[in-house]
Order: sequence, then structure tokens, then C-alpha cells
Amino acid sequence: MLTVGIIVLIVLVAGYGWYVSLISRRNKAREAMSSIDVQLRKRFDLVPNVVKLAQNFMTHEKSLLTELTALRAQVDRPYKRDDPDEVKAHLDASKKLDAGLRQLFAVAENYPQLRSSDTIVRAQETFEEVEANIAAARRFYNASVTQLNNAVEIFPGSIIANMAGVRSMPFYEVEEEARAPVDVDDYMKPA
Amino acid sequence: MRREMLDAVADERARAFDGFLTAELEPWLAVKEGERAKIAQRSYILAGAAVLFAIAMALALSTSTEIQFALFAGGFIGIAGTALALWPLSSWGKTFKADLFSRIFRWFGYEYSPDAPVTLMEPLRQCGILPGYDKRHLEDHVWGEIDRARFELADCKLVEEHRDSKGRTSETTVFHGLIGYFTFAKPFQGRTVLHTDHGTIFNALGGMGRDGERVALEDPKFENVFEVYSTDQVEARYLLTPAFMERLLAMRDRLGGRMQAAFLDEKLYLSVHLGKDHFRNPSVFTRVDDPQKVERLVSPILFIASAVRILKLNQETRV
Repeated sequence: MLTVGIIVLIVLVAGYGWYVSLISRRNKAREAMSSIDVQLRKRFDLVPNVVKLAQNFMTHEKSLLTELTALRAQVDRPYKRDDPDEVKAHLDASKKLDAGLRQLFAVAENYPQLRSSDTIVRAQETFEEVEANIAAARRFYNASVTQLNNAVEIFPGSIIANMAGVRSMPFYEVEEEARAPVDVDDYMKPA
Repeated sequence: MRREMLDAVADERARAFDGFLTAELEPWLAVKEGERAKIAQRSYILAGAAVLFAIAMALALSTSTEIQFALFAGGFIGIAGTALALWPLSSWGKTFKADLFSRIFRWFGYEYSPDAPVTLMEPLRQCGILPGYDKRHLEDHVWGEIDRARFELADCKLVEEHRDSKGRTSETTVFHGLIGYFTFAKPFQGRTVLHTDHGTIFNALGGMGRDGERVALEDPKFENVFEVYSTDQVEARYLLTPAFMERLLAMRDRLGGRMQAAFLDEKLYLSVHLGKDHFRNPSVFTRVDDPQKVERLVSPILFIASAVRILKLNQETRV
């Protein structure tokens, strides 16, 4: 009887330890997600100024500017940090906004007046700085998510995670096309 | 490939240095070799006389006292006499080294002082990338600017004293190598420290007193070499980009010692335990006008420019 009691106690203590570890990892992933949001907010704040300035010069790129404004609104939507689907949708919208801004800066090269504007030069510098910070935050987030997902998906963590309602989180991956050089000609065709 | 990149930078400076060596340094070294030869000749004669006198004393004493005492007294006189005889050569050597290094460093556009300030050690001690010590010796302080990146470097030796149960003291060198900093173009606020990796158990024990959290990085080779702690997880990754991690590994491979580093107050601090001085001392017991010897002294100096360019410390690079 005593042996059974000791075994049950050991199982309970080990289970609690695992639970604590899971919650710590989930909180770490949340913290990492917050740090991404801090950096995404900086990128997000760039959009209105850049779009407003670009509208004065880039008469042929109305669709790109409209798309950027729409993507900004999409990124700004509140989301639940515990819900992997909502996190994924938020990160996907952010990636699209990043790609849109890159396209805008690439197209701006064809507008000498816009290119020489102090605002656009500063915006581009800020964008590069923000991108470096987002890349760092993304690496922190992915490292935290790897630890969380390993704990959630590997037995017996999977059982405890299921009981505690802790789920795997999506990675923040950057597709190769987002990093590929932008073909400006695609955006120079008359609307 | 990394080593080739480093060597290419060094080769470019080395080729330019050859001109200076031939035109200015070699005539000056010829004069200095004349001085050295005179002092060395006098010192060797005196040292020889001291040894002969010591032998004579030992023989004389052996007739009237015990042989052990005669050998001890003879040995003591011989060593003390030789040291005294060689002292002028050693003293000349110190002045020669300071003069030679000043000329070489000035050509590179750097400042040089034979003595280094203790304050250079403090941030490294604060970050835990220099061990505790009882005695310290700092020398060969070099400072300057390369492509807007300022630097300050020095050779450092730290010794720990031990006392056994019988009260006898012994010394262990706990650090011997290069210390200093380079200014870092990227802005940052926190503290990120790269400690030597000592394996899982020792890392866990050593990590208990450290500032900040451990930062797990993606590069397995970097993770095998360094154990990174930072007060800011995002900032640590902003500083340690995959490209910069490769550059740091390249520099560590080049130096060959145990390198540790810290990002603090807009600077990249370095401590490299080499088991010897980084800036070598020219020997005064052989010819000082040998161009190959000068080239060997210049190689560690070329490292400074290589480090700035290979680490891209002068650029606000985002990768």
C-alpha cells in the first residue's frame, strides 16, 4: 500500500513538474510573440506616411497602395496569442505587408522625385532597421516555439498538454519569394 | 574560405608594410643592431666572468665547508652575477621594444604605450569574461581607429596564488593573452555575453551566477564553442546574426586561443586566452635587424585591421 502511495506521489510530482515546464514554455512563446508584435508595430506605423507620400507620385500603382492599406488593417486586427490559427493568420498578414512594402520601395526606384524625397529615404532606412529587429524577434520566437512544440508533441508531454489545453504554435517562417528580388516591371504595367 | 578572407586583408596591409620596412625601419634597425651588439658583448663577458667567479668560489668553499653548501653558494653567486651582467641588455631591450613598437604602430596609424591601464580590464571582469586573480600584469597598450571603428587592446596576464597546508605558496596563470574592445556600429542597450562552452553540466553550474538568460542560437558550431547569455533575447539575436556568428568563429579560428566576448555600452569586448602575449617581444639575444623577425612581430598587429574588416565593425550592417 505504501509502495503504491509513493509511486502515485512520484507520478503526481513528475506530472506537475512537466505541467510547470509546459506553461513556462508557452509563456516564453507568448513573450516572443509580443516582441515580434513590438517590431511589427514599427513597420505598421511606417505604412500611412509612405503610402500618403507615394500617392502623390505613383499614379500607376494604385492597386499596390490600396493593397498595402488593406494589409495594414488586417495586421492591426486583434488576435488571440494562445490560438495557433489566429497567430498563423496574423503572421501571414505581416509577411504579406512586408512583401508589399518591399515592392513599394523597389517600384519607388523608378520615380526620381519620390526616390530623392527625405521622407522616403528615412522610411527606407527605418524599414531596414525594423526588418533587422523583426528577423531577430522571429528567431527568438521560432526558438521558443521549437521548445514548446517539442514539449507538447512528445509523449508523455502530449497527454499533459492535452489536459492543460496547451497547443503547438505555428513557426514564423519567411518564404523564399519574400526575400527574392522584386521584379519592378510587374508593377509598372498600366492599370 | 574564412581564413582566406582574413589573410587577404592582412596580405594587403603586409604588402604596404614591406615598403616602410625597407625604406625606414631597416636603416634604423641597423643602427640599433650596432648598439645591441656592443651591449650584448659587454654583458656576455661580464656574465662569463660571473660564472667563472662562482665556480672558483664553489671550489674554494668546498675545501672548508660541506659540498652541498659550496654548490648552493656557487650557484647563487653564478645566477645573481649573470642576472646583474645581463641587466643592461634587458633594460636596453625594453627601450628598444617600446621604440620599435611605437614606430610600427604609428605607421599603421595607431597609438602605443608599453604600459596598459587597469581600467581596460574592468568591463571584461564585470561581464565575467576574465577570471578572478591575485596578481595582474598589463602591457602593450594599443589604441586607435580603423574606418570609424575605435579600438583599444592590450596584453594581459593574470595569476592566482595558492597556499598549501604547510604555508607554501604556488602560482597558476589563469589568463594570458589579449584583451580589449572595438566600438560597434549597431545600436544596442542591453548586455550580451559569449562565454566559453564547457559542456552541459559545467555550463549549468557556471550559468547560475550569470546576468540574463541563456540564448539558444541556431548555429550548432557556434553553440559548441560559445554559451551565450543576454539581458535581452531579441537584442542578442539582432547582434548575433547568422553571418556575424560565422565571422566571430572565423576570428576565433584565426587567433587560435580561447575567445570570449561581450556586447556592452556600444562596444564589443574581447578576451582571448592564448597562453602567451599576443604582441610578441623582440628577442635581444639574437640580431634585431633581421627582417623576418620584424615580420613576425607585425603579424599580430595585422590582426587588428583584419578583425575590423572581417567582423564589419565599421558598418551598420544588418546581417
